[in-house]
Amino acid sequence: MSAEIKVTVEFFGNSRLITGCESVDLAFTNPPGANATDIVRQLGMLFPGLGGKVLELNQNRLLGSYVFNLNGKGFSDHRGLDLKNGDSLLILPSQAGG
Amino acid sequence: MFGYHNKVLIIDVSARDWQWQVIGEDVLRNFIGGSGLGAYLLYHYCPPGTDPFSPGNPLIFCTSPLVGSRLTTTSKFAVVSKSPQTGFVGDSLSSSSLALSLKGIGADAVIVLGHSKEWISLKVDETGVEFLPAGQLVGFTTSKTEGYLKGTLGRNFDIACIGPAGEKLVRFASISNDGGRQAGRTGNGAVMGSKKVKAIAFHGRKSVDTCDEGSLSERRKDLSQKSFGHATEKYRTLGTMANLSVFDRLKVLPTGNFRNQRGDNFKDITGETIHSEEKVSSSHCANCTIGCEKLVTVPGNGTEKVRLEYQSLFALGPLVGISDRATILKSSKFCDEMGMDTISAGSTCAWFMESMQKDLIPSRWMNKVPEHEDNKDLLENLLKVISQRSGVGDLLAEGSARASKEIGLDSGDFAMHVKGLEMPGYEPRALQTLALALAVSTRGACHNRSSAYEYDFSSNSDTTSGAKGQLVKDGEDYSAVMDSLIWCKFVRKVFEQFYEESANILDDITGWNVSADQLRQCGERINNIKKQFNIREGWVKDHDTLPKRIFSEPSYNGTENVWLREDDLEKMISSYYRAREWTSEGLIPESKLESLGIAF
Repeated sequence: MSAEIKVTVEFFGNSRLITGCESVDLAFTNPPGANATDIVRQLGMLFPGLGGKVLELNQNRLLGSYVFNLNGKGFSDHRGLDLKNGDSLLILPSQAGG
Repeated sequence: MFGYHNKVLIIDVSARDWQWQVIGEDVLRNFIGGSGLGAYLLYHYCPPGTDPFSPGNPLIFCTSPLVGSRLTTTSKFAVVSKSPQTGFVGDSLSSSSLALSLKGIGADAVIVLGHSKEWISLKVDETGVEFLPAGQLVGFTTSKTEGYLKGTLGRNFDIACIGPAGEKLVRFASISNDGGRQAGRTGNGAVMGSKKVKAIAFHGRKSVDTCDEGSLSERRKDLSQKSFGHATEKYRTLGTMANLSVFDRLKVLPTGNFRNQRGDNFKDITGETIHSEEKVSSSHCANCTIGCEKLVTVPGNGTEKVRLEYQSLFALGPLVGISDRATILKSSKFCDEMGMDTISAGSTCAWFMESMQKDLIPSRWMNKVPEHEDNKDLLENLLKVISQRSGVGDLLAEGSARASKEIGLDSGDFAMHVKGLEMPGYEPRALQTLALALAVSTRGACHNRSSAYEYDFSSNSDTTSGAKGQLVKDGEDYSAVMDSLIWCKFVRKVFEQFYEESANILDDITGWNVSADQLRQCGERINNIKKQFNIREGWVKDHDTLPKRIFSEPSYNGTENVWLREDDLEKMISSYYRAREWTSEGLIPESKLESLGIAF
């Protein structure tokens, strides 16, 4: 039996400027659940302006200059993200300098 | 010789004399330029035990082989002296046209020695040096000084100058150039002030030959093209201001003098909000294709703008418990005009405010605190008296390390500095690779000489203490090469193979046929000579530590406390010494010095 999970995606920097919002709630059916590919696909449909600027849409992943962070704690690349209901997924610039 | 002039200009402001000296190719090959060449020159021109404010402390301006190459982000120079904040190697970088004029006079470095009896400015060009009276400039802000000298000497001169803070020997005074860019850290402006040199005006068009201009031209185009891509997107869009909202969310934003790691009221001062609500324009240094600089209109000052960086935003905002955008913008502009490092200024004020809250300030100093209505008012007034060294400003102009020693009463436990240099806006309890880098850095609490936070912000960081030593060592060596060639740090993600690509470019310029490994070893050599200078000037293992607050109070990541225990830092420091092949006491074995060619 499938269940819906909700994930909040938070935007920072350029992605916030492009989307015009700080966050968006996305819903997925579980199983198959949500992984990075699902997230990027949904974001691409909701905010096409992110394509080529933040998202690599044809690969369903973030551009190399961005990185995921789960719940404000662990950093993650495209692989290994297994999202649970109520998770917050942050999209951050990978350059931390300044 | 390609890429260099092979010469150093030595200026003695006591004798009002100057001379050109040849600098050997072996030195240039080993130390490259910028921060590395500056460290070598400091080691040799600064007599052991020299007081930073004495005539013997050399104030060194260094260019690099990449200056003038028109490669993106390379119009940079280093300023090096014995730091009046740390008593150790003090180096800071700045950028833009001054770097081109400095190299254009026909020197790879300029060394200023001595003390002038009267305030002077130096006019330096291809023919040599003129010593100009500068009594009329005393008290001028940095922008007024620059404007005055450009007006009298000609617009083709580029000016390095100090503001009132440098004149008053505020220990964290900066050197300003190119309309408000700052060589900010480690107090080189105070060293310049101690010499009574208000400004140095450079102008020159002497170029150097390039070994393989055809190949360099291709690499120049390729690098510029890549620099427009997503690897620099953050810097081009919001500049370093983008850090604030991210660090706040990740709970690594030091607030309230490192008592907390985030705030509830910083929405108005995030890069995103400032970008949306203020008039922000972008600017760039000479020959830069990135344009990270964000100029924001200063409230109440007409059309005046401030070059706003994350570190200023942090140090004059969250660090001192202030979230009022107008106060931060005005304070940042004020520091630039007075010629003060914003990190040290903000951090010293944060320490003082906490000391006041804890009732630790004795009446002899409390009586000299300027009247104020609230914290915003207090910050602005403290910055003012610091820049003038008046009232309690005379205490705070010494920086938090010395001021807390004067006050005593355990106030040193929350004076947030390492070796006398105040800490930048990264939370070390949560970012523990950075914590190690801050503790062992030769110039004190510095984030820029290791870029160690990169590892803490990545998805594949090895978190064991044993691994961190090697990571910091590698980051320091990499940064030393960047700061010596000199590349801007913001172009670093554009490189796929940094050492290989940089070696190829250095080959094109110099014809040295240098390998990536040789370049990597230059980085190691540069860090070792800096450390050896510090050892000569009294460094002991106890200097490699962090403020007591970091060990005695946890940070909070939203669900649990995060501790950095002193013995955990000790383990990391030991792993760093091992990675460096130093002794367990952090000393450099003679064999290591010999292998690096620095057993002087």
